[in-house]
Amino acid sequence: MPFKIFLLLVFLAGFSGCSSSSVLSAKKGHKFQSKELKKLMTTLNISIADNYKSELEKDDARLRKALRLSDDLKSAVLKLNVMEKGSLRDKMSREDLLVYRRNTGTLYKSANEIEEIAKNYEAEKLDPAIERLKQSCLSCHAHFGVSNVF
Amino acid sequence: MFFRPLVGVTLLVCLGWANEELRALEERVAELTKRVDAQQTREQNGNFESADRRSVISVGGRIDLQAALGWPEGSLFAGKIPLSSEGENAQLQMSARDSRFWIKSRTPTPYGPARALIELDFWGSSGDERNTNSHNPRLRHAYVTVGGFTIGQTNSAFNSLVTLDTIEFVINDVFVRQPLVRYTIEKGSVAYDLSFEQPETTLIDKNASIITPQDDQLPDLVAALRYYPAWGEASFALLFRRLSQDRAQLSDGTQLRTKDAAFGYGANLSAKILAYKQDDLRFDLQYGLGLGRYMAYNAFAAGFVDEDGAIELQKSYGAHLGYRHFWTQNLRSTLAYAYAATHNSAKIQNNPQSANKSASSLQANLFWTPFANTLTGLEYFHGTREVQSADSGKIDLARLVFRYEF
Repeated sequence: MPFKIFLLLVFLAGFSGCSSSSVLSAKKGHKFQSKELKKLMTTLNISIADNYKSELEKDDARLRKALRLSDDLKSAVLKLNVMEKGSLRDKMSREDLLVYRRNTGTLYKSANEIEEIAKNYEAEKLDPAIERLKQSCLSCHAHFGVSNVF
Repeated sequence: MFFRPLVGVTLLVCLGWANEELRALEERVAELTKRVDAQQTREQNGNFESADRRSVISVGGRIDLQAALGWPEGSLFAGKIPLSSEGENAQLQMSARDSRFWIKSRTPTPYGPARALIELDFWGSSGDERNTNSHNPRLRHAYVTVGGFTIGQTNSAFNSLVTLDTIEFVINDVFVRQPLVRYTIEKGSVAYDLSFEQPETTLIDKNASIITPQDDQLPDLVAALRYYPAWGEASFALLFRRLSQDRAQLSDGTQLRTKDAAFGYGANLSAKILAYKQDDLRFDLQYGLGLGRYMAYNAFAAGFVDEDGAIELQKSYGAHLGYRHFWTQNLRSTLAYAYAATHNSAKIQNNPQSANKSASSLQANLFWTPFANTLTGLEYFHGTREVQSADSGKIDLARLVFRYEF
Protein backbone atom coordinates (compact mmCIF):
# COMPACT_ATOMS: atom_id res chain seq x y z
CA MET A 1 0.00 0.00 0.00
CA PRO A 2 2.64 2.59 0.91
CA PHE A 3 4.35 1.92 -2.40
CA LYS A 4 1.17 2.69 -4.29
CA ILE A 5 0.81 5.88 -2.35
CA PHE A 6 4.39 6.60 -3.18
CA LEU A 7 3.68 6.10 -6.87
CA LEU A 8 0.67 8.29 -6.74
CA LEU A 9 2.48 11.07 -5.05
CA VAL A 10 5.26 10.81 -7.55
CA PHE A 11 2.67 11.60 -10.17
CA LEU A 12 1.27 14.41 -8.12
CA ALA A 13 4.67 15.78 -7.28
CA GLY A 14 5.35 16.11 -10.94
CA PHE A 15 1.83 17.23 -11.65
CA SER A 16 2.41 19.04 -14.82
CA GLY A 17 -0.42 17.74 -16.96
CA CYS A 18 -3.69 19.28 -17.82
CA SER A 19 -2.23 21.12 -20.77
CA SER A 20 -1.47 20.05 -24.27
CA SER A 21 2.08 18.93 -24.94
CA SER A 22 2.65 21.99 -27.07
CA VAL A 23 1.57 24.22 -24.24
CA LEU A 24 3.77 22.26 -21.89
CA SER A 25 6.84 22.59 -24.04
CA ALA A 26 6.12 26.22 -24.74
CA LYS A 27 5.57 27.14 -21.15
CA LYS A 28 7.62 25.13 -18.72
CA GLY A 29 6.34 27.18 -15.81
CA HIS A 30 3.07 25.33 -16.08
CA LYS A 31 4.64 22.48 -14.21
CA PHE A 32 4.53 22.89 -10.50
CA GLN A 33 5.99 20.51 -8.03
CA SER A 34 5.17 20.19 -4.41
CA LYS A 35 8.09 19.54 -2.10
CA GLU A 36 5.63 18.67 0.63
CA LEU A 37 4.04 16.00 -1.54
CA LYS A 38 7.40 14.53 -2.35
CA LYS A 39 8.34 14.28 1.29
CA LEU A 40 4.94 12.91 2.15
CA MET A 41 5.15 10.15 -0.41
CA THR A 42 8.55 9.18 0.82
CA THR A 43 7.43 8.76 4.39
CA LEU A 44 4.42 6.72 3.30
CA ASN A 45 6.55 4.49 1.16
CA ILE A 46 8.97 3.41 3.84
CA SER A 47 6.81 2.74 6.87
CA ILE A 48 7.85 -0.90 6.42
CA ALA A 49 11.14 -0.08 8.09
CA ASP A 50 9.48 1.10 11.28
CA ASN A 51 10.31 -1.50 13.91
CA TYR A 52 8.67 0.20 16.83
CA LYS A 53 5.14 1.18 15.90
CA SER A 54 2.19 -1.17 16.15
CA GLU A 55 0.06 -1.80 13.09
CA LEU A 56 -2.63 0.57 14.39
CA GLU A 57 -0.03 3.24 15.05
CA LYS A 58 1.18 2.78 11.49
CA ASP A 59 -2.44 3.11 10.32
CA ASP A 60 -2.77 6.33 12.31
CA ALA A 61 0.40 7.67 10.71
CA ARG A 62 -0.84 6.73 7.23
CA LEU A 63 -4.26 8.25 7.82
CA ARG A 64 -2.71 11.41 9.21
CA LYS A 65 -0.61 11.64 6.06
CA ALA A 66 -3.70 10.90 3.97
CA LEU A 67 -5.36 13.93 5.53
CA ARG A 68 -2.35 15.96 4.56
CA LEU A 69 -2.48 14.48 1.08
CA SER A 70 -6.11 15.54 0.86
CA ASP A 71 -5.17 19.09 1.86
CA ASP A 72 -2.35 19.14 -0.68
CA LEU A 73 -4.68 17.86 -3.40
CA LYS A 74 -7.15 20.62 -2.65
CA SER A 75 -4.33 23.17 -2.85
CA ALA A 76 -3.32 21.61 -6.17
CA VAL A 77 -6.88 21.94 -7.48
CA LEU A 78 -6.89 25.55 -6.41
CA LYS A 79 -3.66 26.19 -8.31
CA LEU A 80 -5.02 24.35 -11.34
CA ASN A 81 -8.14 26.50 -11.29
CA VAL A 82 -6.07 29.64 -11.09
CA MET A 83 -3.93 28.45 -14.00
CA GLU A 84 -7.03 27.66 -16.02
CA LYS A 85 -8.25 31.19 -15.64
CA GLY A 86 -4.80 32.67 -16.21
CA SER A 87 -1.90 31.32 -18.18
CA LEU A 88 -3.74 28.42 -19.81
CA ARG A 89 -6.89 30.19 -20.86
CA ASP A 90 -5.76 31.18 -24.34
CA LYS A 91 -3.55 28.18 -24.93
CA MET A 92 -6.07 25.36 -24.74
CA SER A 93 -8.86 24.42 -27.08
CA ARG A 94 -12.44 24.40 -25.85
CA GLU A 95 -12.44 20.58 -25.71
CA ASP A 96 -9.19 20.50 -23.80
CA LEU A 97 -10.58 22.99 -21.34
CA LEU A 98 -13.58 20.74 -20.73
CA VAL A 99 -11.34 17.74 -20.10
CA TYR A 100 -9.17 19.88 -17.87
CA ARG A 101 -12.16 20.95 -15.79
CA ARG A 102 -13.48 17.40 -15.58
CA ASN A 103 -10.13 16.16 -14.30
CA THR A 104 -9.68 18.90 -11.75
CA GLY A 105 -13.20 18.06 -10.57
CA THR A 106 -12.24 14.41 -10.23
CA LEU A 107 -9.13 15.41 -8.33
CA TYR A 108 -11.23 17.41 -5.91
CA LYS A 109 -13.64 14.51 -5.42
CA SER A 110 -10.70 12.20 -4.74
CA ALA A 111 -9.38 14.64 -2.16
CA ASN A 112 -12.74 14.60 -0.41
CA GLU A 113 -12.94 10.82 -0.56
CA ILE A 114 -9.48 10.42 0.95
CA GLU A 115 -10.36 12.91 3.66
CA GLU A 116 -13.50 10.93 4.56
CA ILE A 117 -11.58 7.67 4.66
CA ALA A 118 -8.97 9.16 6.96
CA LYS A 119 -11.53 10.69 9.28
CA ASN A 120 -13.37 7.37 9.58
CA TYR A 121 -10.15 5.38 10.20
CA GLU A 122 -10.96 3.17 7.20
CA ALA A 123 -7.36 2.28 6.50
CA GLU A 124 -8.30 -0.64 4.25
CA LYS A 125 -10.11 1.76 1.86
CA LEU A 126 -7.14 4.03 1.45
CA ASP A 127 -5.33 1.87 -1.04
CA PRO A 128 -8.24 1.57 -3.52
CA ALA A 129 -8.92 5.31 -3.19
CA ILE A 130 -5.30 6.10 -3.95
CA GLU A 131 -5.45 3.73 -6.91
CA ARG A 132 -8.51 5.54 -8.30
CA LEU A 133 -6.77 8.84 -7.81
CA LYS A 134 -3.71 7.53 -9.60
CA GLN A 135 -5.84 6.40 -12.53
CA SER A 136 -7.47 9.80 -12.83
CA CYS A 137 -4.03 11.44 -12.81
CA LEU A 138 -2.78 9.02 -15.46
CA SER A 139 -5.83 9.54 -17.61
CA CYS A 140 -5.40 13.32 -17.51
CA HIS A 141 -1.69 13.06 -18.27
CA ALA A 142 -2.42 10.66 -21.12
CA HIS A 143 -4.94 13.05 -22.62
CA PHE A 144 -2.57 15.96 -22.54
CA GLY A 145 0.45 13.93 -23.56
CA VAL A 146 2.38 14.60 -20.41
CA SER A 147 5.16 12.09 -19.98
CA ASN A 148 7.61 13.79 -17.67
CA VAL A 149 5.80 12.95 -14.47
CA PHE A 150 8.92 12.35 -12.42
CA MET B 1 -71.53 0.78 -20.23
CA PHE B 2 -69.98 0.78 -16.79
CA PHE B 3 -67.79 -2.17 -17.60
CA ARG B 4 -65.07 -0.32 -19.58
CA PRO B 5 -64.26 2.36 -16.95
CA LEU B 6 -64.23 -0.33 -14.25
CA VAL B 7 -61.70 -2.38 -16.20
CA GLY B 8 -59.64 0.75 -16.81
CA VAL B 9 -59.57 1.71 -13.14
CA THR B 10 -58.70 -1.86 -12.15
CA LEU B 11 -55.86 -1.96 -14.65
CA LEU B 12 -54.52 1.37 -13.40
CA VAL B 13 -54.59 0.17 -9.79
CA CYS B 14 -52.86 -3.07 -10.80
CA LEU B 15 -50.23 -1.17 -12.74
CA GLY B 16 -49.65 1.08 -9.74
CA TRP B 17 -49.12 -1.97 -7.52
CA ALA B 18 -46.85 -3.52 -10.10
CA ASN B 19 -44.81 -0.32 -10.30
CA GLU B 20 -44.46 -0.18 -6.54
CA GLU B 21 -43.37 -3.79 -6.44
CA LEU B 22 -40.96 -3.18 -9.28
CA ARG B 23 -39.52 -0.17 -7.48
CA ALA B 24 -39.16 -2.18 -4.30
CA LEU B 25 -37.48 -4.96 -6.23
CA GLU B 26 -35.11 -2.52 -7.90
CA GLU B 27 -34.19 -1.03 -4.54
CA ARG B 28 -33.60 -4.49 -3.15
CA VAL B 29 -31.38 -5.44 -6.12
CA ALA B 30 -29.44 -2.19 -5.77
CA GLU B 31 -28.91 -2.84 -2.07
CA LEU B 32 -27.78 -6.41 -2.70
CA THR B 33 -25.45 -5.29 -5.48
CA LYS B 34 -23.96 -2.73 -3.13
CA ARG B 35 -23.39 -5.38 -0.49
CA VAL B 36 -21.79 -7.79 -2.95
CA ASP B 37 -19.54 -5.00 -4.28
CA ALA B 38 -18.55 -4.03 -0.76
CA GLN B 39 -17.83 -7.65 0.11
CA GLN B 40 -15.78 -8.12 -3.06
CA THR B 41 -13.83 -4.94 -2.37
CA ARG B 42 -13.05 -6.11 1.12
CA GLU B 43 -12.01 -9.54 -0.09
CA GLN B 44 -9.82 -7.99 -2.75
CA ASN B 45 -8.19 -5.87 -0.09
CA GLY B 46 -7.50 -8.79 2.21
CA ASN B 47 -10.27 -7.87 4.62
CA PHE B 48 -13.48 -9.57 5.51
CA GLU B 49 -16.57 -8.89 7.56
CA SER B 50 -17.15 -10.60 10.87
CA ALA B 51 -20.24 -12.64 11.62
CA ASP B 52 -22.14 -9.63 12.94
CA ARG B 53 -21.49 -7.82 9.62
CA ARG B 54 -20.38 -4.72 11.45
CA SER B 55 -16.69 -5.36 12.03
CA VAL B 56 -14.03 -5.18 9.37
CA ILE B 57 -11.23 -7.58 10.18
CA SER B 58 -7.81 -7.48 8.54
CA VAL B 59 -4.90 -9.84 8.84
CA GLY B 60 -1.30 -9.22 7.88
CA GLY B 61 2.28 -9.43 8.96
CA ARG B 62 5.79 -9.49 7.70
CA ILE B 63 8.46 -11.97 6.75
CA ASP B 64 11.83 -10.90 8.05
CA LEU B 65 15.14 -12.65 7.49
CA GLN B 66 18.29 -11.29 9.06
CA ALA B 67 21.89 -12.37 8.91
CA ALA B 68 24.41 -10.92 11.36
CA LEU B 69 28.12 -11.17 11.94
CA GLY B 70 29.58 -9.58 15.07
CA TRP B 71 33.06 -9.08 16.52
CA PRO B 72 33.08 -10.25 19.23
CA GLU B 73 29.94 -12.28 19.44
CA GLY B 74 27.44 -10.70 21.80
CA SER B 75 24.44 -8.51 22.39
CA LEU B 76 24.07 -4.97 21.13
CA PHE B 77 21.96 -3.78 24.03
CA ALA B 78 23.58 -1.04 26.10
CA GLY B 79 23.88 -3.18 29.19
CA LYS B 80 25.14 -6.30 27.44
CA ILE B 81 27.87 -5.25 25.05
CA PRO B 82 30.75 -7.62 25.86
CA LEU B 83 33.58 -6.16 27.92
CA SER B 84 37.03 -6.54 26.41
CA SER B 85 37.68 -9.79 28.22
CA GLU B 86 34.45 -11.39 27.04
CA GLY B 87 33.07 -12.74 23.82
CA GLU B 88 34.16 -15.12 21.11
CA ASN B 89 34.98 -14.28 17.54
CA ALA B 90 32.33 -13.77 14.95
CA GLN B 91 29.63 -16.31 14.21
CA LEU B 92 27.25 -15.92 11.33
CA GLN B 93 23.72 -15.93 12.70
CA MET B 94 20.61 -16.10 10.57
CA SER B 95 17.13 -15.67 11.92
CA ALA B 96 13.53 -15.17 10.85
CA ARG B 97 12.35 -14.48 14.41
CA ASP B 98 11.60 -10.84 13.69
CA SER B 99 8.77 -11.92 11.41
CA ARG B 100 5.38 -10.74 12.63
CA PHE B 101 1.72 -11.58 12.42
CA TRP B 102 -1.24 -9.38 13.28
CA ILE B 103 -5.03 -9.32 13.28
CA LYS B 104 -6.91 -6.08 13.62
CA SER B 105 -10.57 -5.12 13.61
CA ARG B 106 -12.70 -2.03 13.31
CA THR B 107 -16.25 -1.93 14.64
CA PRO B 108 -18.62 1.02 14.69
CA THR B 109 -19.80 2.13 18.14
CA PRO B 110 -21.67 5.18 19.43
CA TYR B 111 -18.26 6.56 20.48
CA GLY B 112 -16.66 6.20 17.07
CA PRO B 113 -14.90 3.15 15.64
CA ALA B 114 -13.47 0.65 18.10
CA ARG B 115 -10.16 -0.57 16.74
CA ALA B 116 -8.45 -3.62 18.17
CA LEU B 117 -5.11 -5.23 17.43
CA ILE B 118 -3.27 -8.38 18.40
CA GLU B 119 0.29 -8.51 17.13
CA LEU B 120 2.86 -11.26 17.60
CA ASP B 121 6.47 -11.85 16.71
CA PHE B 122 8.63 -14.93 17.29
CA TRP B 123 10.90 -13.78 20.08
CA GLY B 124 9.34 -16.19 22.55
CA SER B 125 11.39 -19.09 23.87
CA SER B 126 14.15 -19.94 21.46
CA GLY B 127 14.17 -22.89 19.10
CA ASP B 128 17.09 -25.18 18.36
CA GLU B 129 19.37 -23.95 15.59
CA ARG B 130 20.62 -27.49 14.97
CA ASN B 131 17.34 -28.78 13.64
CA THR B 132 14.11 -26.88 13.28
CA ASN B 133 14.58 -23.34 14.68
CA SER B 134 11.10 -23.58 16.17
CA HIS B 135 10.94 -20.25 17.91
CA ASN B 136 7.81 -19.53 19.91
CA PRO B 137 5.46 -16.61 19.26
CA ARG B 138 5.51 -13.68 21.67
CA LEU B 139 2.82 -11.11 22.40
CA ARG B 140 3.77 -7.62 21.24
CA HIS B 141 0.50 -5.73 21.22
CA ALA B 142 -3.02 -6.57 22.42
CA TYR B 143 -5.20 -3.50 22.77
CA VAL B 144 -8.33 -1.70 21.75
CA THR B 145 -8.77 1.98 21.12
CA VAL B 146 -12.17 3.70 21.20
CA GLY B 147 -13.46 7.16 22.04
CA GLY B 148 -9.96 8.42 22.75
CA PHE B 149 -9.17 5.57 25.18
CA THR B 150 -6.46 2.98 24.54
CA ILE B 151 -6.71 -0.06 26.75
CA GLY B 152 -4.41 -3.09 26.69
CA GLN B 153 -0.75 -3.75 26.08
CA THR B 154 1.11 -1.52 23.67
CA ASN B 155 3.87 1.06 23.37
CA SER B 156 4.33 3.39 26.32
CA ALA B 157 3.29 6.99 25.81
CA PHE B 158 6.76 7.91 27.11
CA ASN B 159 8.41 6.34 24.04
CA SER B 160 10.02 8.61 21.49
CA LEU B 161 7.58 9.48 18.72
CA VAL B 162 10.44 9.83 16.28
CA THR B 163 12.80 6.90 15.96
CA LEU B 164 15.81 6.34 13.74
CA ASP B 165 15.50 4.59 10.40
CA THR B 166 17.81 1.75 11.42
CA ILE B 167 17.66 -2.02 11.76
CA GLU B 168 19.36 -2.21 15.14
CA PHE B 169 17.86 -0.57 18.17
CA VAL B 170 19.71 2.58 19.03
CA ILE B 171 21.70 2.42 22.26
CA ASN B 172 19.71 5.01 24.23
CA ASP B 173 16.33 3.76 23.03
CA VAL B 174 13.39 5.00 25.05
CA PHE B 175 11.22 2.04 24.35
CA VAL B 176 8.84 0.19 26.63
CA ARG B 177 5.82 -1.89 25.73
CA GLN B 178 3.47 -2.62 28.63
CA PRO B 179 -0.13 -2.80 29.83
CA LEU B 180 -1.70 0.65 30.05
CA VAL B 181 -4.82 2.78 30.00
CA ARG B 182 -4.36 5.91 27.95
CA TYR B 183 -6.62 8.80 27.04
CA THR B 184 -5.80 10.83 23.95
CA ILE B 185 -7.17 14.13 22.74
CA GLU B 186 -6.34 15.03 19.15
CA LYS B 187 -6.75 18.57 17.89
CA GLY B 188 -5.52 19.20 14.39
CA SER B 189 -1.80 18.66 14.29
CA VAL B 190 -1.46 18.24 18.05
CA ALA B 191 -2.27 15.22 20.24
CA TYR B 192 -2.23 15.02 24.02
CA ASP B 193 -1.83 11.72 25.89
CA LEU B 194 -2.42 10.91 29.53
CA SER B 195 -1.45 7.38 30.32
CA PHE B 196 -1.51 5.12 33.38
CA GLU B 197 0.98 2.34 32.84
CA GLN B 198 2.27 -0.77 34.51
CA PRO B 199 4.86 0.05 37.18
CA GLU B 200 8.02 -1.97 37.72
CA THR B 201 10.72 -0.80 40.09
CA THR B 202 14.31 -1.74 39.26
CA LEU B 203 16.98 -1.12 41.90
CA ILE B 204 20.68 -1.83 41.97
CA ASP B 205 22.07 -3.26 45.21
CA LYS B 206 25.50 -3.29 46.85
CA ASN B 207 26.50 -6.26 44.65
CA ALA B 208 25.77 -4.27 41.48
CA SER B 209 22.86 -6.54 40.62
CA ILE B 210 19.58 -5.06 39.45
CA ILE B 211 16.66 -6.44 41.43
CA THR B 212 12.93 -6.07 40.83
CA PRO B 213 11.22 -5.93 44.23
CA GLN B 214 7.73 -6.25 42.67
CA ASP B 215 6.16 -4.18 45.40
CA ASP B 216 4.69 -1.44 43.23
CA GLN B 217 1.34 -0.05 44.20
CA LEU B 218 0.76 2.94 41.92
CA PRO B 219 0.82 3.00 38.13
CA ASP B 220 3.44 5.03 36.29
CA LEU B 221 1.93 8.22 34.93
CA VAL B 222 2.88 9.66 31.54
CA ALA B 223 1.72 12.96 30.07
CA ALA B 224 2.77 13.45 26.48
CA LEU B 225 2.35 15.90 23.66
CA ARG B 226 2.74 14.97 20.01
CA TYR B 227 3.03 17.56 17.29
CA TYR B 228 2.78 16.98 13.53
CA PRO B 229 3.69 20.25 11.81
CA ALA B 230 4.65 20.66 8.15
CA TRP B 231 8.35 20.73 9.05
CA GLY B 232 8.38 17.25 10.61
CA GLU B 233 7.25 15.63 13.84
CA ALA B 234 7.98 16.17 17.51
CA SER B 235 7.00 14.83 20.89
CA PHE B 236 7.60 15.72 24.50
CA ALA B 237 6.73 13.35 27.32
CA LEU B 238 6.89 13.57 31.08
CA LEU B 239 7.02 10.52 33.33
CA PHE B 240 6.12 10.37 37.01
CA ARG B 241 6.59 7.18 38.96
CA ARG B 242 6.70 5.85 42.47
CA LEU B 243 9.54 3.43 43.07
CA SER B 244 9.21 1.19 46.06
CA GLN B 245 10.45 -1.86 47.88
CA ASP B 246 8.75 -3.64 50.73
CA ARG B 247 11.06 -6.11 52.43
CA ALA B 248 12.65 -6.97 49.13
CA GLN B 249 15.29 -9.62 48.72
CA LEU B 250 18.75 -8.49 47.62
CA SER B 251 20.78 -10.40 45.04
CA ASP B 252 22.76 -12.23 47.73
CA GLY B 253 19.58 -13.50 49.34
CA THR B 254 19.48 -10.95 52.16
CA GLN B 255 15.90 -10.19 53.13
CA LEU B 256 15.39 -6.51 53.93
CA ARG B 257 13.35 -5.75 57.05
CA THR B 258 12.07 -2.33 56.07
CA LYS B 259 10.21 -0.69 53.24
CA ASP B 260 10.83 2.54 51.37
CA ALA B 261 9.53 4.48 48.38
CA ALA B 262 10.65 7.44 46.31
CA PHE B 263 9.08 9.50 43.52
CA GLY B 264 11.02 9.64 40.26
CA TYR B 265 10.52 11.55 37.06
CA GLY B 266 11.77 11.70 33.51
CA ALA B 267 11.44 13.81 30.39
CA ASN B 268 11.83 12.77 26.79
CA LEU B 269 11.99 15.01 23.73
CA SER B 270 12.15 13.64 20.20
CA ALA B 271 11.89 15.33 16.83
CA LYS B 272 12.28 14.92 13.11
CA ILE B 273 13.08 17.96 11.03
CA LEU B 274 12.73 17.78 7.28
CA ALA B 275 15.95 18.91 5.71
CA TYR B 276 17.47 19.20 2.26
CA LYS B 277 15.18 17.70 -0.41
CA GLN B 278 13.82 14.51 1.13
CA ASP B 279 16.45 14.14 3.83
CA ASP B 280 15.67 14.56 7.48
CA LEU B 281 17.41 15.11 10.77
CA ARG B 282 16.24 13.17 13.81
CA PHE B 283 17.15 13.43 17.44
CA ASP B 284 15.95 12.67 20.91
CA LEU B 285 17.02 13.75 24.39
CA GLN B 286 16.04 12.30 27.72
CA TYR B 287 16.83 12.94 31.33
CA GLY B 288 15.44 11.64 34.54
CA LEU B 289 15.84 10.85 38.19
CA GLY B 290 14.62 7.30 38.53
CA LEU B 291 14.19 6.91 34.77
CA GLY B 292 15.64 3.39 34.97
CA ARG B 293 14.10 0.81 32.63
CA TYR B 294 12.49 3.42 30.38
CA MET B 295 15.81 4.05 28.63
CA ALA B 296 18.43 1.74 27.09
CA TYR B 297 16.53 -1.48 27.68
CA ASN B 298 17.06 -1.70 31.42
CA ALA B 299 20.83 -1.11 31.25
CA PHE B 300 20.53 1.24 34.20
CA ALA B 301 18.57 0.91 37.43
CA ALA B 302 16.14 3.55 38.64
CA GLY B 303 17.93 3.77 41.96
CA PHE B 304 20.11 2.16 44.59
CA VAL B 305 18.79 0.22 47.57
CA ASP B 306 21.10 -0.02 50.56
CA GLU B 307 21.29 -2.67 53.26
CA ASP B 308 18.82 -0.74 55.39
CA GLY B 309 16.30 -0.77 52.58
CA ALA B 310 16.57 2.95 51.77
CA ILE B 311 16.10 3.91 48.13
CA GLU B 312 18.39 6.49 46.54
CA LEU B 313 17.27 7.46 43.01
CA GLN B 314 19.90 7.85 40.31
CA LYS B 315 20.15 10.18 37.34
CA SER B 316 20.13 8.82 33.81
CA TYR B 317 20.35 10.63 30.53
CA GLY B 318 20.78 9.92 26.86
CA ALA B 319 20.55 11.34 23.38
CA HIS B 320 20.86 10.40 19.77
CA LEU B 321 21.27 12.26 16.52
CA GLY B 322 20.75 10.82 13.08
CA TYR B 323 20.70 12.12 9.53
CA ARG B 324 18.84 10.28 6.80
CA HIS B 325 19.80 10.87 3.21
CA PHE B 326 18.02 9.70 0.08
CA TRP B 327 20.40 8.70 -2.69
CA THR B 328 17.44 7.92 -4.96
CA GLN B 329 13.73 7.37 -4.32
CA ASN B 330 14.42 3.72 -3.47
CA LEU B 331 17.83 3.98 -1.89
CA ARG B 332 18.55 5.69 1.41
CA SER B 333 21.05 5.80 4.27
CA THR B 334 21.09 6.83 7.87
CA LEU B 335 24.12 7.81 9.90
CA ALA B 336 23.49 8.01 13.62
CA TYR B 337 25.27 8.41 16.93
CA ALA B 338 23.79 7.71 20.35
CA TYR B 339 24.91 7.95 23.95
CA ALA B 340 23.39 6.93 27.27
CA ALA B 341 24.73 7.15 30.82
CA THR B 342 23.82 7.01 34.48
CA HIS B 343 25.27 8.07 37.82
CA ASN B 344 25.58 4.95 39.93
CA SER B 345 25.65 5.18 43.67
CA ALA B 346 29.04 5.29 45.33
CA LYS B 347 27.71 2.75 47.81
CA ILE B 348 28.07 -0.13 45.40
CA GLN B 349 30.59 -2.37 47.17
CA ASN B 350 31.02 -5.49 45.06
CA ASN B 351 31.25 -6.38 41.38
CA PRO B 352 31.52 -2.81 40.03
CA GLN B 353 32.12 -4.37 36.62
CA SER B 354 28.44 -5.35 36.64
CA ALA B 355 27.17 -1.82 37.08
CA ASN B 356 26.73 -0.17 33.69
CA LYS B 357 27.91 3.40 33.56
CA SER B 358 27.64 4.50 29.93
CA ALA B 359 27.23 3.21 26.40
CA SER B 360 27.41 4.63 22.92
CA SER B 361 26.64 3.52 19.39
CA LEU B 362 27.48 4.55 15.87
CA GLN B 363 25.30 3.23 13.05
CA ALA B 364 25.42 3.52 9.29
CA ASN B 365 23.18 1.75 6.82
CA LEU B 366 22.03 1.46 3.26
CA PHE B 367 18.38 0.53 2.61
CA TRP B 368 16.91 -0.43 -0.71
CA THR B 369 13.22 -0.79 -1.52
CA PRO B 370 13.24 -2.78 -4.76
CA PHE B 371 9.47 -3.17 -4.99
CA ALA B 372 6.31 -2.56 -3.00
CA ASN B 373 6.28 -3.54 0.69
CA THR B 374 9.85 -4.77 0.56
CA LEU B 375 13.01 -3.70 2.33
CA THR B 376 16.55 -4.88 1.83
CA GLY B 377 19.21 -3.35 3.99
CA LEU B 378 22.74 -3.56 5.25
CA GLU B 379 23.77 -1.92 8.50
CA TYR B 380 27.01 -1.53 10.38
CA PHE B 381 26.86 -1.04 14.15
CA HIS B 382 29.68 -0.06 16.48
CA GLY B 383 28.84 -0.08 20.17
CA THR B 384 30.79 0.61 23.35
CA ARG B 385 30.05 0.06 27.02
CA GLU B 386 31.77 1.31 30.14
CA VAL B 387 31.08 -0.03 33.62
CA GLN B 388 31.59 1.34 37.10
CA SER B 389 34.98 -0.36 37.49
CA ALA B 390 36.16 1.64 34.43
CA ASP B 391 36.41 -1.52 32.37
CA SER B 392 35.05 -1.14 28.89
CA GLY B 393 34.22 -3.16 25.81
CA LYS B 394 33.10 -2.73 22.28
CA ILE B 395 31.32 -4.62 19.56
CA ASP B 396 31.19 -4.30 15.80
CA LEU B 397 28.37 -5.91 13.89
CA ALA B 398 27.19 -6.07 10.32
CA ARG B 399 23.60 -7.07 9.66
CA LEU B 400 21.78 -7.82 6.45
CA VAL B 401 17.99 -7.76 6.41
CA PHE B 402 15.31 -8.76 3.96
CA ARG B 403 11.74 -7.87 4.84
CA TYR B 404 8.41 -8.26 3.10
CA GLU B 405 5.07 -7.02 4.43
CA PHE B 406 1.89 -8.80 3.50
